[in-house]
Amino acid sequence: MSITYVLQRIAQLILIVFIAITINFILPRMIPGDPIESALTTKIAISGNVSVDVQKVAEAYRQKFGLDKPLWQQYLNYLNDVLHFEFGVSLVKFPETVVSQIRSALPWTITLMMVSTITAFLVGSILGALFVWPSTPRLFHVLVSPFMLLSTIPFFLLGIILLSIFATELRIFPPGGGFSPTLIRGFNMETILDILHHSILPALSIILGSMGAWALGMRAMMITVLGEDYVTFAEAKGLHPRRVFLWYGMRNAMLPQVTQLALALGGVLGGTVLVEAIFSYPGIGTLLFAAIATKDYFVIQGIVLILIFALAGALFIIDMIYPLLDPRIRYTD
Amino acid sequence: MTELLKVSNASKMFYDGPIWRRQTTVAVDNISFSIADDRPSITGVVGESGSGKTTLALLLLGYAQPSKGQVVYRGQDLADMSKQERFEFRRVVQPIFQDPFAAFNPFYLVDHVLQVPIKRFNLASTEAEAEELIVEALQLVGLRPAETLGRFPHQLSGGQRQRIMVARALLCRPQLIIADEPVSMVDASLRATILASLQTLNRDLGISIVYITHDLTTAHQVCDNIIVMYGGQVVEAGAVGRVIRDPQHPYTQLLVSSIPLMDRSQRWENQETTEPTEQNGRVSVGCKFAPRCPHAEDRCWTSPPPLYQTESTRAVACVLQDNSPVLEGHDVTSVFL
Amino acid sequence: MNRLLRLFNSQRITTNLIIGLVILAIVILVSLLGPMFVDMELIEVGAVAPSKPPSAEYLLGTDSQGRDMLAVLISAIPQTLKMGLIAGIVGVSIGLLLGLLSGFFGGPLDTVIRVFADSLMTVPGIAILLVIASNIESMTVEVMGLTVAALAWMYPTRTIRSQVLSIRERPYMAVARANGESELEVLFREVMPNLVPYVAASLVASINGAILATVGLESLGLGAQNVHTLGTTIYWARRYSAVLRGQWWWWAPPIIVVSLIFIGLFLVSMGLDRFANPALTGQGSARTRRRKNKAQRNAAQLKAAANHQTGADNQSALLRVDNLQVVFETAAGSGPAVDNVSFSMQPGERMGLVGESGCGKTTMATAILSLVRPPGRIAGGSVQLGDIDLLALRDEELRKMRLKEIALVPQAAMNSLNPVMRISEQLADAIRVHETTLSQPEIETLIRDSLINVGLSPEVANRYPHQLSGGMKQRVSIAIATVLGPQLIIADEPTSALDVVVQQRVMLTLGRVQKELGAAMILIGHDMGLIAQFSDTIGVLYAGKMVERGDIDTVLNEPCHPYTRLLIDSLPKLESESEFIGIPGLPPALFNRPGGCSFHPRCPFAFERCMAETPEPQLVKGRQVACHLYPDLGQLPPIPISSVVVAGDGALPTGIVDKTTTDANTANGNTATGEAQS
Ligand SMILES: Nc1ncnc2c1ncn2[C@@H]1O[C@H](COP(=O)(O)OP(=O)(O)OP(=O)(O)O)[C@@H](O)[C@H]1O
Ligand SMILES: Nc1ncnc2c1ncn2[C@@H]1O[C@H](COP(=O)(O)OP(=O)(O)OP(=O)(O)O)[C@@H](O)[C@H]1O
Ligand code: SF4
Ligand SMILES: [Mg+2]
Ligand SMILES: [Mg+2]
Repeated sequence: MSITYVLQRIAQLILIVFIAITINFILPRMIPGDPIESALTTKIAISGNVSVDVQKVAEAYRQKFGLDKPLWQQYLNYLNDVLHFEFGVSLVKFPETVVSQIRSALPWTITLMMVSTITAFLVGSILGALFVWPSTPRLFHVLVSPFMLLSTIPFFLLGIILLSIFATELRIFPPGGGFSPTLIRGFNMETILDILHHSILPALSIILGSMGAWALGMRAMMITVLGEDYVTFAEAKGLHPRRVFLWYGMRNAMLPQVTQLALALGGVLGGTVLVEAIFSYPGIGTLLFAAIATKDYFVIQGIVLILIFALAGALFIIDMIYPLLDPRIRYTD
Repeated sequence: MTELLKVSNASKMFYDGPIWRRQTTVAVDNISFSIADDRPSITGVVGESGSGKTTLALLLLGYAQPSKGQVVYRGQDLADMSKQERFEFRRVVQPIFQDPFAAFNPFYLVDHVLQVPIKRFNLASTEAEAEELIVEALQLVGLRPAETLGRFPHQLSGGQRQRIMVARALLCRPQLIIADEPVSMVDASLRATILASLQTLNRDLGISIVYITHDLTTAHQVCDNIIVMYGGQVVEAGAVGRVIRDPQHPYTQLLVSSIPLMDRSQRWENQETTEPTEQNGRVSVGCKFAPRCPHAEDRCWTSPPPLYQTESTRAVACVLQDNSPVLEGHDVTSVFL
Repeated sequence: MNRLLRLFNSQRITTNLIIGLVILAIVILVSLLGPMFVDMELIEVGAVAPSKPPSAEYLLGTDSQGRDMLAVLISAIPQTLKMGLIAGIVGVSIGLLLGLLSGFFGGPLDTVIRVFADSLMTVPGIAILLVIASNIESMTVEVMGLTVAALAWMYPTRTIRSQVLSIRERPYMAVARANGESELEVLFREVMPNLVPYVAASLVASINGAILATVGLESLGLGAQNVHTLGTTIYWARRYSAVLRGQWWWWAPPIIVVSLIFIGLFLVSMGLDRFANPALTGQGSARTRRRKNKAQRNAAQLKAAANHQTGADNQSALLRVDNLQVVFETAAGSGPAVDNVSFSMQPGERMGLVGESGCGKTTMATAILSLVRPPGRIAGGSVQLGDIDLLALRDEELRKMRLKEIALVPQAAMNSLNPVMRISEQLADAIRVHETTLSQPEIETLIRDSLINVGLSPEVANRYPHQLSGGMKQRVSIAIATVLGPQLIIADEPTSALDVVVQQRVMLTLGRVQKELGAAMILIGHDMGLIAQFSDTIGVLYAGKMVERGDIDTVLNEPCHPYTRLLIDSLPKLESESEFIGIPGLPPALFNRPGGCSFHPRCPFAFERCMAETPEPQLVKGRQVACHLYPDLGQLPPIPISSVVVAGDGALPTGIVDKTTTDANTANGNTATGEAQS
């Protein structure tokens, strides 16, 4: 991996992020009507305060946010703000800043979603590989196949099913939220257990719902890899079947999957909006959902920026570490 | 002599790595020769893997542009041809590639590759005539049309596929066929049939052939003249019988001694060690073979030897031959039969 | 027509595909025929009594707004499917066009398309959707579909582009140009058709994604809420807390239908994998376990014991193969790739094994190691190394014999090393599993020594296979094969991919190491010259049978079997410019071997008996020959030249077809790495 390659990738990353950020600038401005006015109207509708002159307040806001300036100036201000991680304030929950909202939601999403995505990846890959490994018992195929089919169901729908079975009918798990409302949070066993208890259903719906896709990808790669001569040669060396499976089969078959994993992790923040919304989980997804519902544009813009950074970052990181995983990759162009 | 295709002082460089640390591979290094228009010939190009044979073939076919020098087709530089001229050139100079499987589009029946040139080059006016042309071409290479047409490439053996490729080249009524290792992927016992087809084309139809290979035995069998390449350069060239039976360049000698002979009295293991003494790390700005050459002298490392004409039909680029006159113009065609 | 036939070639149609299509067909039929049986007026709010569980009157019950759920469901399915189809078809069409342009023409166009696609991929679709949604007065199913397509075209673009990049480099592109095709013709006639499977797979994936996206967005209330789709049905169910109120008949049916559509599409796309990747055909669940029941094992031992007594002159033999039979059983047919082969080898002997491609050389080698993979199966016979009957061993015992006692230098050394492991790891792996007592430094010394022994510098240990040349890789596999000092080395065409100079050096190394170890060696090859250079004895295989076996000088000086003779003659000679001698015809297909002597259709000396009776090996002039000419014939007459000089041949019967296809596929494979590179 040459320095040129790294520089080139960085340049590309900057370009992509730049374009994406620009799209993010243009988007809200393409929405018909005035976002501030409509947000204020929403806010007023919620609070029931009718005596405010919407026009006037909106004017004040616009001045405050520089929305009365020419477009290019707004764009420069926007870029400047982005550089300083300054995403403005929530229109609906004024004066809370967007950054503080995101900051309080992020840990929830990151822990729940990362953990379940990685679990789904590992479990799915192993199952997929076992599917084509010749000495896997037949029983395995019989037992695991139904789970694979289950995985084709979109995971937020799976969430609804799980919710109705385990929360509504059986009442084993809470119907939503990230923790019990009565809980006094602290760093103790009770808190941890409570949070875990709340996270099991959403986690399960992600794991069950996405495991199959990983298994499928792994299965296809594993078929190709098992046909390779180096697997035969490994067997001819008299290696333990377990070693052949893990180090000559899975390890090689997993390489193309790693890119997908990085994309999935980068997309974790945004891709699970629906699951979070269904479980009213206090993460980024629910925040975004609420912001969309109340047209809280600055919050939307802020979250989208975070998502752009996450995804572009994930793509970049995978490009950087892939050559370490697969020494064959030569970067020349 | 009029020239059908002429390569003059052609070089091809490939660049690798960042601009400030650019590595240059000289795949073809200052090669000149030509194929006569009026007299059909078979010219062999031999050399080890990486010696630039395929690159040379691509230059001859106009699929790659030389970095230096030029390739000229009937007085017309390949680099600046009009669309019409290029179309004509494509028909007259036909390739046969190394891998007879990859040369077929897996989506189509093998017929496709035979029908397209007839249509494109307007070789037949009716369906029946086209059919007849195809049948004739297949028979020329020893294939029975009934058993080859209407099949998919993967349903034919390597030898059959390769011969269809020969038939395809033939259909275009070419004057020159550039065959890049046409038999390296087929069984030893099938090689004979394909090479014989090529020889028939040359003898009976007057088609010239450039036969690229690393197999000296078959080159010896089919070629009139031969060019031995090493590191992109011509190290020895001339009439095939002389070059192979009595090689003068140390590299050609190495090549010839590496042929596994049936003769058990000449077993490699009984001979003195043929493993050349590689002088690791030392870069030669002179003869590229110097690091592996058992006869290398100091001067070999410093300046590249010119081609010496050691016989009327042979040129050798080795300082050991420096009592012979230098080949004028560097064009090895002058020592060809 | 032929193309269609090929696409729907029976081998490629899988049960997955059929089940998937059936599921989808049922869903579509229900939505099409439903209105004939169900009163569609009942989808109006308040048409029926609200919140009733399923009953005879309302099969799926009613929702809290007083709508009949069955009618709602039936009217929702076509809308959902329509949305998915619009999104899928539009998205894939854009993707196909851009992917083709980007991949085929490259250059600045490619860069622009790529950067734009990547940028758009990083912007969460939901944000863009939001903007589009708020710009449109009333969201219709069509607009929703187009919107999703606008957000999804990047994915098919990427797939198609990487495919085009790999197809673009195939030699048949150059052939098409030589055939006079213009660039556009090359693009549309040569490149496009090969994308069909990928386009089909992308289409399924896109429809899948589109339905997912629309159902998802609608169930958030962001979609076409004024029409009935499955997504909006779920949305309203959630909106009126159907889940929490236990009104399962409201939310469950749409989820079940969506799930059915997904399962159907999933099965179809799994089925389409076969089209995209013909290498998958016939591999299915790769190898099965080598299992042998006790009875079989006992029988084999008994037989081996019996052989032991009869073969008195074989007492000292290192390897004894008796009546070995390996059959391949596929859908296309079955046949013996190794057919009743018997031979023995002395310690230290170098045996050359020659024959045309497909005659069973590799199969025999893998059978000796018990590494035959399905559809191949060892159907009979025994393989004895010293006193041990290899075929009777348990898996675990057999595993311990491999490499330590019998080592393989594989045919395709280029592909025999794991590309992502350093050489040292691959050597250490082999050592550690057999020599469990060695310490790490001892292993390292062993690795060092073994590399030096095959003429490589010890630092090669730290490299990856792709950093080595073909010759070096072959030396590494020789180093691995010999590191534990096996009694028998099987070298399967160890140099067929190398050029002559490197071939000589590698063979000299292999020969030296083998001699030092005192191991016996089976050298497989089809180059008579190479075998002549390296072997003490020779075995000639034809169509799975050993047709001649004896001392190398004896056989080469006076070959007795007509096939051996032709093999030798077809090798061109340097001394004279000889005629081309070829063997007329082709080897018979595995599944269609001629009766009698399987060489008779190609044999210049064949007579009636050859067609009727299979010749048994017999001792002729100091070697075994299986040919009816003997013992009557004193000497093989000269071969009539007319019958062997450049003859036409027949088409290859279908038996070999699968094998060649897979070979070619692995040869130009590496798409995965190619993609990562781009
Ligand atoms: N597209 C390319 N980019 C960079 N280097 C190249 C390229 N094509 C060829 N080369 C280099 O040019 C040299 C000559 O390659 P070429 O393929 O012409 O050899 P060859 O004689 O045909 O070898 P072989 O017998 O293996 O086919 C090699 O060192 C090769 O690595
Ligand atoms: N997986 C398979 N499925 C069906 N037939 C097979 C398979 N593998 C090999 N065969 C058949 O078994 C026969 C022997 O094949 P084998 O690979 O042993 O030949 P070989 O002598 O090693 O040929 P080569 O010189 O090409 O390596 C061939 O007819 C081949 O078609
Ligand atoms: S048995 Fe008959 S057909 Fe077979 S090799 Fe001998 S003579 Fe030829
Ligand atoms: Mg080449
Ligand atoms: Mg083989």
